[in-house]
Amino acid sequence: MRMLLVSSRVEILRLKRSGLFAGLLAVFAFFGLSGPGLALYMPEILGAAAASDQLTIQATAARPEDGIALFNQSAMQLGLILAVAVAITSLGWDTRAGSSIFYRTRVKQLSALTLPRLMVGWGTVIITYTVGFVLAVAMTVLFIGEVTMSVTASVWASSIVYLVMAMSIGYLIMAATRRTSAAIASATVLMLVLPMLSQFEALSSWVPTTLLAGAETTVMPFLSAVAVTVLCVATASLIASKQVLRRDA
Amino acid sequence: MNDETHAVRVVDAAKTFANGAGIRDINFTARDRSVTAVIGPNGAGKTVLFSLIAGLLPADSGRVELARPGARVAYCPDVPQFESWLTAREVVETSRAVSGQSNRIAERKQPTSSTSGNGSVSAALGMCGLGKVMDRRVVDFSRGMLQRLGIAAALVTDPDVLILDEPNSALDPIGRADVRGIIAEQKRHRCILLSSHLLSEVEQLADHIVVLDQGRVVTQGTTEAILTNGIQPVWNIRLGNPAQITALDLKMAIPEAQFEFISDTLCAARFLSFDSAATQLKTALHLLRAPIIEVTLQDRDLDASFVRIVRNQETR
Repeated sequence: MRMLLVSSRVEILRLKRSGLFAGLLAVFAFFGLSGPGLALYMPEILGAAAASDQLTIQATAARPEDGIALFNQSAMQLGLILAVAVAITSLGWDTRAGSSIFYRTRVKQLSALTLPRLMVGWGTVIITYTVGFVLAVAMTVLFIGEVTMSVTASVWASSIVYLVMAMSIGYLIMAATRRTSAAIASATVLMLVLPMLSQFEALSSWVPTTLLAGAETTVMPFLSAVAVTVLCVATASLIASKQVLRRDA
Repeated sequence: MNDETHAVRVVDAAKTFANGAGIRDINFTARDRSVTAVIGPNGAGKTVLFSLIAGLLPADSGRVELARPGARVAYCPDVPQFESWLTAREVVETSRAVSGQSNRIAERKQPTSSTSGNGSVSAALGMCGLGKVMDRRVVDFSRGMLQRLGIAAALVTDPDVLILDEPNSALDPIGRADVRGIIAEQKRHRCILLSSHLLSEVEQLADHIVVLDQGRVVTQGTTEAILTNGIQPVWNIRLGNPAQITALDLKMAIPEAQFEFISDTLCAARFLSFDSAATQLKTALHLLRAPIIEVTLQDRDLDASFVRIVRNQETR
């Protein structure tokens, strides 16, 4: 319990003082405000962009789902990468010999130190995403129209579960590589490539990336995302317990 | 050495890395409530040895024995690093908390003063000269301040074995004196393993010295034994008047010794050992038949002994 509290406190201080919390909040809030606005003015924007004698684009008026969808598209790209970076950098202390020695000589079970920090990262991302999401819903309701509760809840839950899963994948990559830049680079590539899995019909009913579709998901992608999360965290803990001090750190 | 008071015993320890570097056949014992210095050239294996003792690296063979199960080892590396957004106080609080120390302090209720109990975060920081900057973030700290903070973070865990890897390499003379004082005080309460290239510091602090070179123990013993081991001591004898005897005549009188007149009034006398010098120096002083102004021992310091030991090893 002590380790949980101490690690959580250190991670909260890190997120607060390094600006990561503010960064996440700003990104999600920005998309929360701009997504519905973009949906509202999309016909005008497209019309202005493509207006010529040969080409005219006529877009239908914005629907409430469009406001939420545009927020989520942006949030699940830049916001997702930021969220993964939060998880990866929570293990940053292990990339430097000096700070690695600090913890490794004091903590017997390393996962007791690292898991609470990951969980604080999850919590931070969930909170900041939710702030952005609430702003997006509010803006949509104010300027476009009423949104249905079931669609809203489904998009929110799908995104949260996907963010948590993506962070766990990043955490596993970092635990295995113990190199921040390499972990962020490979996690980013993976996050960009993974959504392609949903294009395969055989996989689309259960792969976690289907969660990015938001409103139209079934229970299977949720379950597989949870399974991937548990697997990543367990593997990362196992790896951490086997590792010794990096000599080249 | 009395094994009953040992804090750490390293038995046949070996650790080799892919590039061939590492340590082999390491055997030594460090006593409780004393300072054992591990000295050696760069790359001799000091940090690898400390990492083994601290449990940061597994040994390929051999073992490290601590005096009792669960004995606490604190390792302060030569370049301590901390999470830079924390303040010095938070670093030391975290150090104490993650090592589960506050309960232990409360349970033990050591009668020793704040300088040894280390239960207080503020006391540990104050002892290391960081009392006035304890609420500053570590990111603003100089390397010397980080070294002090590393020691404070180690002391607050009340370790049985405190490993200080070059603790004063980035410190100014005042800082070095402070750290020297801390080590001198702390050795009353725990075993300290120390490495430093500042051998004058080691000479003042260490009770026992282990000399490493190329991953092996070249020699070890008490500081006095290392200082005098294998040395052919040279005394400079300064006279009030020119000597009444030549170097050759002195040599004939004392064949085992060598004499050289650097000037009319300065004679250098080299003896085979401190034992032989104990009697022969007296004879030489008598034979010089001139007022003796000063007799000083040349090069009796750990730097000279260390260079001699390592060079002897390299020529074997």
